[in-house]
Amino acid sequence: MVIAAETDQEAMAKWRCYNDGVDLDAIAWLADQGARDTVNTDTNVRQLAAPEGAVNINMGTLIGSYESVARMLDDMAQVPNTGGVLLTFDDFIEGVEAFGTRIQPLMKSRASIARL
Amino acid sequence: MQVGVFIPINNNGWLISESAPQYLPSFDLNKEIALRAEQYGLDFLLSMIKLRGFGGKTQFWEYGLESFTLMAGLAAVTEKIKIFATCPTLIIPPAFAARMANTIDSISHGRFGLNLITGWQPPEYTQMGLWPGDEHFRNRYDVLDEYARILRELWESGRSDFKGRYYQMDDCLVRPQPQADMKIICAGSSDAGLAFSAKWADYAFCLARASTRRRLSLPITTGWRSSPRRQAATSRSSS
Repeated sequence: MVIAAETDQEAMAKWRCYNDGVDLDAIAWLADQGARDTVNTDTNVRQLAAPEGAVNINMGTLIGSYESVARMLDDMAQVPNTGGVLLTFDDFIEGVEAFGTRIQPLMKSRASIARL
Repeated sequence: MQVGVFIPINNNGWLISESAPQYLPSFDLNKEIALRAEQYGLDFLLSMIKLRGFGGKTQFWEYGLESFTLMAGLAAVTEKIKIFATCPTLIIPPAFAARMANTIDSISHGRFGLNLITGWQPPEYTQMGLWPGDEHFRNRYDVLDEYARILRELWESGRSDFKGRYYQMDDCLVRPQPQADMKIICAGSSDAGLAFSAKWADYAFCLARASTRRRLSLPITTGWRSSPRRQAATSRSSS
């Protein structure tokens, strides 16, 4: 999940705000459901419901300025065998727009696209 | 590195919070996201399928569209971006999934692929009488292995006569075949799920966590792409 803004501080403020409003009842339900599979304890569902990042289902979260997020995505591109990254956003329309106009043009791993 | 968007097919996207944006899913919202993603050169779109939400104050994921039909609509309004739907294999039989995929392949002119899921959450399925019982937790990837084999046979040759433990085809014909090589994604992260992906999938969809990175460094030595079976299927379809 990308949570980006002009500055790291602004982005982190958004993230804190979302955490302050966390829907604990919904997360408790997910944790309960994830524990029903007692055969496999290595499923992704158990990772999703881990308490520390439950507000966005514990997905990898990139929080920061457009520059910071571009740098973090370039870091991900360096992980061996990474073919791609599937992005979510806090606000999808604003998020895709910001990715296309502010983040992607700064990414070394998207240089071929940024020149289009 | 390719970049895709996991489009919000259910309400509120992926933030389980009263202070995050609150919205219902719609075709119009997802079309707007898809068109902007395509405009900026992004590579692919994927939607999940979720049939029962988590409740709570935000009624999280209690409102959701259906993945194949949403992606068929998006395929018709886009031109370049790749499109992936998620297939709930407990609900859709493999030969029918193959035909749905072929239809979106036609709409998209070869830009379509499938994310296969086994299902893990009984309330999604018990509500419609389709949960096979908790035995599913033990054999779900055995079932999916047969499912994927049938899909690959039908896509490669237009025909399957596969007789398995869970599925039996009887000279099953699904034509026309897709115009492009159909891609399969699997998001399983258990040992069984990763083994399935290594054997049948083109992409393993993982959570971006350090533990994932360690697991994915394991070598992949077997797979559909290099198997004699695939080569046999390919030669059948070209003869």
